[in-house]
Amino acid sequence: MNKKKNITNLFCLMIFSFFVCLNTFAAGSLNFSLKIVNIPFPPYQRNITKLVNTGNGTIYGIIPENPFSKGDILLIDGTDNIVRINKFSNDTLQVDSVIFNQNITWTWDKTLTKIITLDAFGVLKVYEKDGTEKEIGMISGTRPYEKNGYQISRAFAVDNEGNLYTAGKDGFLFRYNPQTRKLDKLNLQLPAVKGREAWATLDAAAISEDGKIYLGTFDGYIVEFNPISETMINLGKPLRQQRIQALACVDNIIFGIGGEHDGLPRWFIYNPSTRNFEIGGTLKTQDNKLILEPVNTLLVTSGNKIYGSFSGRLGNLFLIEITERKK
Amino acid sequence: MRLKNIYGRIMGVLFFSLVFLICCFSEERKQNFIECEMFPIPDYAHNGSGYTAIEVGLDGNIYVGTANYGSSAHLVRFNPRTQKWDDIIDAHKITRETGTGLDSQSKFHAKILVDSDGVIWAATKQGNENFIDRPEFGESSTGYPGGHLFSFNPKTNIVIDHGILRKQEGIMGGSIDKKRRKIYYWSDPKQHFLIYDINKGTLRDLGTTGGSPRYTAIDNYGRVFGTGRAGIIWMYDPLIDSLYDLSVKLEGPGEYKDPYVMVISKNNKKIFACAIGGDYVMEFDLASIEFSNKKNDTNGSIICRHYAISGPDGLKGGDQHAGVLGKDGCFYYTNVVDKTPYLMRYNPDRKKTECLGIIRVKNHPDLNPLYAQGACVLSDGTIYMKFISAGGGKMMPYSIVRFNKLSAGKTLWRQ
Repeated sequence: MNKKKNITNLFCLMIFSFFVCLNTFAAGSLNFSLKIVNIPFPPYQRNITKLVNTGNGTIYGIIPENPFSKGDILLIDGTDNIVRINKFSNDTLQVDSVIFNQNITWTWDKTLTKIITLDAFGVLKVYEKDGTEKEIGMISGTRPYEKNGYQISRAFAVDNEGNLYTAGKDGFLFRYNPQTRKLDKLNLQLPAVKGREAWATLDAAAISEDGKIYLGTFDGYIVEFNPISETMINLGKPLRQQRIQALACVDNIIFGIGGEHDGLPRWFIYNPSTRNFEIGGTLKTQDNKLILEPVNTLLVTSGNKIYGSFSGRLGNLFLIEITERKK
Repeated sequence: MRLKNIYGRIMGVLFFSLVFLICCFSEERKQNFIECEMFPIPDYAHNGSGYTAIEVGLDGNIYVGTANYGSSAHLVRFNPRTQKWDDIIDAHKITRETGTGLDSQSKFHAKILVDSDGVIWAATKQGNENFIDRPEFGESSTGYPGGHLFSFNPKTNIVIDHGILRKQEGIMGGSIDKKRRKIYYWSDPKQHFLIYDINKGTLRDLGTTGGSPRYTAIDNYGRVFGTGRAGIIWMYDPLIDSLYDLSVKLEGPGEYKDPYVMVISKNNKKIFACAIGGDYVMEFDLASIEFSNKKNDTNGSIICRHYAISGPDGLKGGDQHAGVLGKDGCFYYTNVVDKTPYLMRYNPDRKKTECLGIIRVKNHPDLNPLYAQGACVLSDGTIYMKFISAGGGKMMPYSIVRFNKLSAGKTLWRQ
């Protein structure tokens, strides 16, 4: 009887394996290559710490100077012209003490008239166009065995409704609605290497066409988050290293760069339709030089171009083209 | 008859003059050598190689950092009076590290620095660099831990390990600002500019310089200069506490090559430099630094002048790896052309180079020194250079060599 059962189990296993293999071959392994184009433009921009997309075709680059309350702004317009400017456009809120401070995580609401921040004390604040600032609440907690200091999330994710998401204490997700000014703690926790839950922070995010948000964590996990059903799927860690430096969604594939600040940036692609990762390896310039500096932002334009900004003294803008290799 | 005699005498004088000149010229050709004394570095400290790490201490001893690929580099001391060597630092012994191969503290490459109190500063780096095939620096808990900074006090014989300056990167370059008590290095391979504060024991990282200069130069304002990205000299100004990129504007013949050796001039107004394969000795004019006329990707510019060909007898190119400013204000450097090592001297007043001769080792005519890696000068003008184990014919042992009082006093010019 047992023998018969074993044979049945073995048969089931073989059938299962066959379909797994079939599925793999049918989907095919991803096969992308990367072309990184250094963008020379006057004046030379160093140490762009953040690229921000206004949603109307304009991209701003933030170039802070010490002591983080002043700096330069570059503008990439819809026709890819790049110029240095002093101010955002009039309808866009600018708070210099926020945007040039590298210790503050910030974003606009969808009207561009409010700036929402997460500061080094773990406090969420909102800055209004009329010059007022208001504390929304404290979301971060002290790390174990340390009396001071917080590791705050480095990114806000935004859904199609304009709700903002970031992670607070122990990697729990918080949702903030800039219209209703309501802050909710969701019962969803970002993954972390066991024992490192207190360090689980949100470092990068990108939204796909179907409204799902892909989150990158400090420990290097990628998470698929559905803001409607408030569910989360841990997709795993594409790289051995910590940190997801930046994520972007282009043609409904998730393109990411990860790696530690002192290490090397490495790229990967996640294809939601096949649920496969492709690990691309280190980044090289067109003259085959290894890129040593971390990436701070990836932005996709309406023309499906990816702009990347690399940190560091000689960090500058890159245009990243992902091409599918012919099989 | 009288006229005939006079004519005969004139002809005679002319003939003998001609013979004399030919003899002199032949003699010049034959004796175009410069001799040095050789002091081999003890075998336990190396496996045949070493780099810019050589300097004379205030105690008159020569401090030499070695390369010991795959194992532990040493800082050794040569006493010119007793001609004996001492082992000062065994990098693995003092750091308690046991790395092998790529993960070992295999080189004291950075210039040895001497503080005004006589303390010797030295720093290590990885050997057998393989940054393309094994690029996990900065990320791996194993692998090369990073270069250590050491100090040695000759008065107390105490060595202090000041720790790793930058995780999983080696330490190179090296200039000291004795007034501000700061030491400047850069990290390899990420080329970050590092400032170590001797008083506070703290380190600052100003980010990448974009270049890998083996020599850096410091002037009396405390400004530090090094080779940056191609065609660029970086400058750190301690008054503004900023790192600048200066595009090089070339004046004179030939093409600009990024310098390998850089030394500050006696009057602190120029930097003398030479490059591997460079056709000319370079003079960077520090008074020409300006920030108004800059290229798009730099902060300003600096003028580099080519006055004299770097090689002997008008020969261009050659391998120029080691140089030092002599006590006479001239720039002494080696140039290996067609596997022949020449000792060259550049006189900044005359704007001319002179070949002092093919380098030969005294009492060892069978040895062929080839590549010098590092040089230092003593107060009496004596120049020490470090030669790696290489050469055609009988292999020269890894040694320091001495050119006794070569750069003392006034320069005698043959040209």
